Formats: sequence, C-alpha cells, structure tokens
Amino acid sequence: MKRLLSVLLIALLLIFPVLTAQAEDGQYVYVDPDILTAEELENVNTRAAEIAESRGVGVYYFYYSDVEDLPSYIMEFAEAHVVEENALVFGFNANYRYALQIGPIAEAALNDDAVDGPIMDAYRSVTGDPERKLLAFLNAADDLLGAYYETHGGANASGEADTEAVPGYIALTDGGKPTLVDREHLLSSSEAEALSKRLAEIGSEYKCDVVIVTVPSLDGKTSEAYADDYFDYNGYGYGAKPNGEGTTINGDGVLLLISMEDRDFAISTSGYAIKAFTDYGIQTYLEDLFLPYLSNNDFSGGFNAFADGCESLLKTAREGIPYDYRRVFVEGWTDQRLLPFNDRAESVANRYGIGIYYLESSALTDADAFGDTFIRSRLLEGNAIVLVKGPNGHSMQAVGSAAYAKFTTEKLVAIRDAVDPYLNAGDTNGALTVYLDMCSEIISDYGHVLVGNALTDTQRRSANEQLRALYAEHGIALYFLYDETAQDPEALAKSFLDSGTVLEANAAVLGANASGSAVAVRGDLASYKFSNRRIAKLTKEVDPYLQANNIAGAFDAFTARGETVLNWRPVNWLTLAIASIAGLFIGFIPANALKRQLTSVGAQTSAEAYMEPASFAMTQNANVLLGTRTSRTVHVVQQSSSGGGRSGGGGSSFHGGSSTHHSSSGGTHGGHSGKF
Amino acid sequence: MPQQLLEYRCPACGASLQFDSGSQQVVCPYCDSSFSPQDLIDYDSFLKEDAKNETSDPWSKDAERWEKDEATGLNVYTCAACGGEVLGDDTLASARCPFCDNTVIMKRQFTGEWKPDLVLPFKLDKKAAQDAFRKHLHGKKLLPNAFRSESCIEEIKGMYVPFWLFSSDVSASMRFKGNTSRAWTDGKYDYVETSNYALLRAATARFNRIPVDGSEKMNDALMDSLEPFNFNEAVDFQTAYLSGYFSDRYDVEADVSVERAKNRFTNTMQSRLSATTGGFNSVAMESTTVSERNNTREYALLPVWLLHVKWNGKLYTFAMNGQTGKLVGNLPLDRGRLWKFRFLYGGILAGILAGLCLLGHFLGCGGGCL
Repeated sequence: MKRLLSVLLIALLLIFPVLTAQAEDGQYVYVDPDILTAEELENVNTRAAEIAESRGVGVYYFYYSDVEDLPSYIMEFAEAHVVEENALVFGFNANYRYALQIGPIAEAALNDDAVDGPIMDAYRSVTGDPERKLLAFLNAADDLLGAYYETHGGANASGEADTEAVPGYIALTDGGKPTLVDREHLLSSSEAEALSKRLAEIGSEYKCDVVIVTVPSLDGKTSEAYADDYFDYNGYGYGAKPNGEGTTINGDGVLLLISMEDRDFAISTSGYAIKAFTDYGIQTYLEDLFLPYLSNNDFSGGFNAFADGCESLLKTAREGIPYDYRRVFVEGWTDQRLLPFNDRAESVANRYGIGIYYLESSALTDADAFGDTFIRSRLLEGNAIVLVKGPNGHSMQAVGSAAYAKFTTEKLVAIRDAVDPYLNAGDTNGALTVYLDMCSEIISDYGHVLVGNALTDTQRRSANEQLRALYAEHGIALYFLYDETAQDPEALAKSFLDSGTVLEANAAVLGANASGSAVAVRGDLASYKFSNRRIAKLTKEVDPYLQANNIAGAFDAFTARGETVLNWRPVNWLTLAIASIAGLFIGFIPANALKRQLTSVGAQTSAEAYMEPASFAMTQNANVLLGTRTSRTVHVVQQSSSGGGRSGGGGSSFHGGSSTHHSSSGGTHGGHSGKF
Repeated sequence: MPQQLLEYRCPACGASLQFDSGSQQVVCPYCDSSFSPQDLIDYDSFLKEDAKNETSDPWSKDAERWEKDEATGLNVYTCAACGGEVLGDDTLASARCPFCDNTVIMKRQFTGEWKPDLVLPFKLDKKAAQDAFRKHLHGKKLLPNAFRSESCIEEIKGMYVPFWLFSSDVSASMRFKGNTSRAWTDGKYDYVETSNYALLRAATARFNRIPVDGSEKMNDALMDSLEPFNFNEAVDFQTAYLSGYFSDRYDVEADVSVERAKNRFTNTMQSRLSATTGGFNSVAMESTTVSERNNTREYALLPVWLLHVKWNGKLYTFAMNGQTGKLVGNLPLDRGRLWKFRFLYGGILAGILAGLCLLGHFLGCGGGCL
C-alpha cells in the first residue's frame, strides 16, 4: 500500500512539479517506480538523512528516465525538495546525469570535480544492485564532506554549518539571515555588531535587505555571479520566503560582496532594489562613497559608507524618484520615452550650463519639500530650473544666480500659465514639451546680458546678439551684468564667473551697479587681452553712463570698448624677427648676383651651338623590360582613436534606469562589479 | 734656314702696309693707298722673283746661331724694314718691329703643316676694343672704384690666335636603367609593383667647327668664353690679313686638342639623349658609347684683341672677340662693397617683409600672415 502511494506520488511529481512543493520531508532519493522496493528506498533515504543531519548538507538523488530537459528540471526539483542551505542534487534521466551544488559548502566540497571523480567512481564501482549503488554514492559524498570539514575546520558534526560560522552578535535580516558575513574577519567583533545592526535597521526601514559578505576567493566565478548566487542560494531578499524553499529569487535586497583574493567587489541588487539602485546611482554615487575607503583598507569605514549610501538611495527612491542622472523623470514612463526629453535638457545644460528638470511621480505628495531635497542633493548643475509634479500639485523653482537672473518672476508665471492647462488635462507629454520649449528659449535668449529689468526685452535680445556675435568672432565671451543692489561690482562679476554659468574657457564679465563697474576675466587669451590697463580704460568709459542711470548707454560703451580690446593683438615679435632675417638673407641673392657679374670667363662644356641644325636624329629609342617585382605589406587603416571609457566603470554609458542580468538560479539581478 | 720675315710694302710709296679691319683692305697709312689682299699677294710673288737674284742675308749666320738655341724658346728675327732685331718665341708668327713699328711676319710659321686653312679677319679695331673694355666696366657695382679710375691698359694688341676647328658626324648610344612603379591595395594588403627597364637610346648628329684653342699661351677658358665666332665669314688664309696684328702658330697638337672637342660633343649628346628618358622613376645612366666619322679638322686663325690691364700691382687679362666685339675677362671684387650691397638689399627686403607683417597685424591677421 505504501509502495503504491509513493508510486502515485512520483507520478504526480512528474506531471505537476510545482504542486509537489509540499512533498513529504525527509525524502532524499527519488527514482522511477520498480527500481527500488519500498524497503530499499527507506534504507537509502535514512542514510541520506543521516548525512544531512551530521554534515549539514543534503544529498539528493533522482532518476526519472523520461525527463527531457534535465538542467531545467533539476532547478525545479531543487526548489521543490531541497530544504538545507547546502545541498547536492544528483539527477539522472535515461541519457544524462546532472549535478547541482547549492550553498558554499556543497560548492566547495562536492564540486564538479568531486562529482566526476570520487562520487561517480564509487557509483560506477557497484553494478546491478540499485540500493548498493545508491549507498556507495551517498557514502562517497559523506566521505568528501568529512574531508572538507577536517581541512576547513568548521562544525564537523553540526547540521547548521553556515549559520554556526555566524557569531551570535550579528543582527539578522527580517528573513532571519545574517546581514554581515565576514569570512575574512575584516572587522572587529564590535564593529561587526554595530554595522550588522545598522544594516538590519536599514533593511527593516526600507523593506529591502542590505547585506555585506566578505569571502577569501571567488572559487573561479566572476564576482558578479558569486554575489548573485550568494544572494539567491542563501535565502536573502526581503519578502522572499525564509527557510523551507531552498533558493530564493525576486526578494528585495542589495548585497555587497568583497573578495580579498584579487580585491574584487560586486554589488548585486534584486527585486525592488534594482529600481532603487540605478546604474547611475551605484556607479557615480554609491561607489564613489565607499570604494575610496576600501582602497585604503579601511573596511569599517567603507562598509559604513556603503550603508549610508544604501540608506540614502533607498530613501530617495521611496520619496518618488530613484537616484538617476535623468533631468526628466515621469513615473511609469519607459527609458525610451524619457530619452528624447532628457537629451534635449542635456543639450541645453551642456550649452548654457543651466539644467532643466521635470520630475513627476505619484509618490511626491509634498512637491515643495521634495523639490528642496532634490535641489540640495541631486542637481547636476549650479544653475537650474526645477519643476516637481506630485498628485497634489506642482512647484517650480529657479536655482543659482544665472538661472535666477534669467527666470524672473514674470517668466515663471508665464511658464506656469502655459504648462498648467496641460497638467490639469493630465497631458504630461504636452506639458513637458511646452515646458522644455519655454525654458530653452529663456535660457538661450539671455545668455550674455543679465540686467534684471533695466533693459526692455527687445534691447536685451539685441544686446545679447551683439555679444554672441563677438564671441563667435573672437572666441572670448563677454558678459554684461547689471544689478543695482549689488554692493561690490567686482564680487558680482567674480561670483558670476565662478558660478558655473560661464561655460566658455575665455570670458570677461563686467559686473556693474549704479555707481561703477568691474571686470572679472577667465582664460589665458582673455586675460592677455583684458590687461589691467585696458580694463581700467573700459570701466572708465562705462561708469559715467551707470552713474547717469543710462544702462543702454553703459552697455553700448561696454560693447564698443570691448570690441576694441578684443581686436587688440600683440605684435608677434618672433614672426617679425623671422621675417627680417629671412628678408636679409633673401637680400643676399641680388648682391651675390652682382658678384657674379664680375666673372665672365668660364670653360665651355657643351657643343650645342655647333650642332648642325636638324642633324640630330634618334636611331634607337627602346625600353626593354628587365623584370617586375611586386611587394606586399599589410594594409594599415587609419583610425581615429576615441577616448577610453570611464575608469573602473567598464566604459559604460548610462541610458537611465538599471541594467539587469540573470543569475544561475534564474533570478534577475542588477548591480555593478569591479576592483578596489 | 734663315728666318724669312715677310712684310708688305706699299707699292706706291714703300711704307709698311697694314690690314684695315674696317674696309677689309690692306691700306698704306702714309699715302692712303689701298689694295685688296689678293692684289698684294700677286704683287708679292712678282717681287719674290726679283729677290731670287739677291745675295743671302748677311745676318743669316747670326740668325742661325740663335736658331740653334731653340731650347731657350727664343728666336731673333730681323726686321726687313730697318734691320732691327725682333725677339720672339718660336711660335711667334707676326709681330711689330720695336724700332720702326713695321709689321713683321715670320713667313716660315705659315708654311707646310703650319699653314692655316682659314683666317677670320678682324672686323673691329683697337678703339673698339678700348671702348668695349670701358663698357665692360660699366654697371659693375662691385668693382672697386679705384680700378675704374686707376687701372691703365698696359698693352692692347690685336692677335690672331691659332684654333683647331673640328667637325664630325657623331653617333652616340647610351644605356640607362629606369623603373616604373604602381601601387594599389585590396583592402588587406598594400601592393607596390616595380618594373625595371633598360632604356636604350642612340642618335647621330653633325657637329661643325668646334673651335679649340691651339695656343699653349692662351688660357683655354678665356678663349672658350669668346665664343661664338661666325665661321661663315672665314676666308682662305692669306698672310696679307696678318699685317698690323700679332699672331702665333699653334703649339698644341690637333691630337691633343681634339679631346676637348670630344668632351664637348659627348656632353651635348648625353644631355640630348638623357632628355628622352621621361616617364621613368630614378633613371640612372649605365653606359655611353660615342664614335665619330667623317672627321675633319681645320687650322684657323681667329681675331682676338688682348688687353693687359695693370692695377694694384696685378695684371688682368681681357680678351675681345675681334669679330663680334664680345669682351670677356674677370674683374676684381671689392669685398667691402659686396657686404655693403648685401646689407643694403637685405635691409630693404627685411624692412618690406617686417612692414608686411605689421600691416597684416593691423589688418587683423595677427602677424600670423607669414
């Protein structure tokens, strides 16, 4: 009866592998019916249970002759049946065998070499009797595990080898896994305790496991694969079911792996963390935060910085917008949809140094507050216009002196009036287009002349055109700043020059208030032309207009004198000297010709004059080919070399969001790896 | 054998006759009679008939004594007009008697193998030579001023210089080595194909009357520089043309002189043939063979005015082509003036270039124009 039951059970297993997840515990050997008697099956299962008990490693065996795709099935089998953290699953179909190691101990002790070597040797040594064959297999695995514990220490007889290695003071994740596995003992116990508590707190707070693992070597895997597998096979991930289902996938969590052998590191993200930890966030923010510590062997500092960074990234993500390089973010939009808007904003930022930001997410309940946070921590430029749209409304702010000067209150009101109808109608696409159009126009229209309301728009536009034309001609950008409230024109000009608004390498900024003006200069060429003497002359011409409150006059005087200064060029003495010396030597030529006049005697060597006219006749004119030689060299193609990629970043270019890959267990992970 | 000095006397008044280069006649400077050279020769042969009866020259013994002393290269000739002795080397063929200024012609120098085939009569006189010399100095900016004012023409003499004129049909054949190459690529390799050729060239040409100075005393380069002569105006030799001029007989044998002529036509043929090797890369000459046929040589006396100018203790020799008036001769160099002119012209040019630089600078190209 019992036998019949198990036969039925096995049949069910084959048809509904997922449903069999609740298979009876304690069974390690699964075979096609009729191969083993129930008694024999119980014997081998008992032996396997003994090994699992004493070594902490489950050794599973199945033989299903009609399984087609063995590698895939073995994964399902493992998910369905394996309960230990470390296990070897040894599967056969009619033609193939396949071994799957789970967990670091199984991977080390029962690796593929061991399977192909001692285990298969033992398995093959017995022929005929399936029970004895299986027992030989189990004994061989038991021997290998014993040998492993002898050389690696650890809990020989403990059933929980891995957790045994974890000291009791280590805080656990919500799923009951250690947040810090410091196999390399890089931290003191007090440091480890504090750090693990911190990691556990962050994990609970943001519902995302944050784990740090240090290992001596990668066992031949890539650091990325090792980190992914460690995460999956050790049951990490917030929301992944704890013990009882073998590997976990799609839990939420981030894991930092450090391998000291080649100083590799890897960050593996899973589930929600893939979204929160964007490529840009990991590579430009998080890694910049903790890698310098690791490079200096300050592991405590590095791991704490990692924890800080993770907390910051998780916090930002929870607030609505994951840390990304994007200037335009709309919740629910794909990267492809966001890209053209971002490209536009980026080109404006590259050209004028003023960023245009548009952030929309239903999570931004307090748009003003998020805008403030965003501006403090996430702007890529010193000057920006930021529009934050949440479910309860939107806020718009100009940041930085240049942006502030350009986006006057009227302008902001005009933008709002233009954008609101679209937003109210829920047309994000339309709102974004109008917003970008208006901002680009405002930014590009008033590039060089910043005078508040001292000039009309028309005057400002034409003044700006003049200065831009001068820049196009001379390569030196002139800026005209008028702020009647400014205390010190020199400070005004200098702070503007340093604000990041001035992108040109060579620039001269005139800062002016109602009483006078001053010039700040950047770049070798500009400094050369705008000498102190010439600057003094310039301000002397501009100042009377300022004092008369004639800003247009002051600008005209600035432009006129500025153009004169730009046109000034130093005499190139070297060229002059070269020209003079060359002239001197060329002058020798006619003098030497005069010298030759004195000589009229010379022997004649030609008899051309005595040749009888038309008597010259060619009698032979032949070209005899002696031979042809062909040489061959490898064709060299001229290639223009372009600059290398980001250092340490593997030449990646960001397209927003997170890139993902699949780990061996089939889980999807994000993250980044490298060396420190 | 005693030296036979030949002089022509005016059949009218008995004075010595001279060849007038302007009228191409022999004239008497005293009675203004003029005769054609041919008439004079006829008259001379008539006189010789008479002279056969005369006793031998009483000075002939002395003359013979001198003649034995040929190792010194000196001969003494007796002027037929006044009996004065004329001293000259053994190539002297005509001269003037230092005592009576009559022309003496050593007839022996023009007989037998020394008889010239041609003579090119003087067309320009002494005054023309002097003018030409002055003109030669004109416009020579680097000539020392002192040379212009202080130099004096120490001696100016019209002289028939012996030349060999060589004519030949010349055949030259040359071999060159040359190559052509073409390059192409198939994307993977670059190919260069080089084809080597032997270029065979041969030609014939006729050269007429290449003149080679046959006098040891004359500087070859100086004589070469007098070219060209127009041999169409050459006439058969008559001693009458020599009256009033000095002349030498040749003392460089034709066999020796011919080498210079050969060099000249070989060079000419080589340059003519080399010019036909266009279209090849790196043409290198491998061999030249030149042969001549129908060689003729003529012995000609060509008219040259020689001017010896003394300045600063040094003697400068100039020569003028007596036919064309071309005057040659190296002039001394004023080194100070050379540097003065170098710096003058150099300074002017340097100024112009520097000025252009500055102009360019102020026109806005920043002195980078050059």
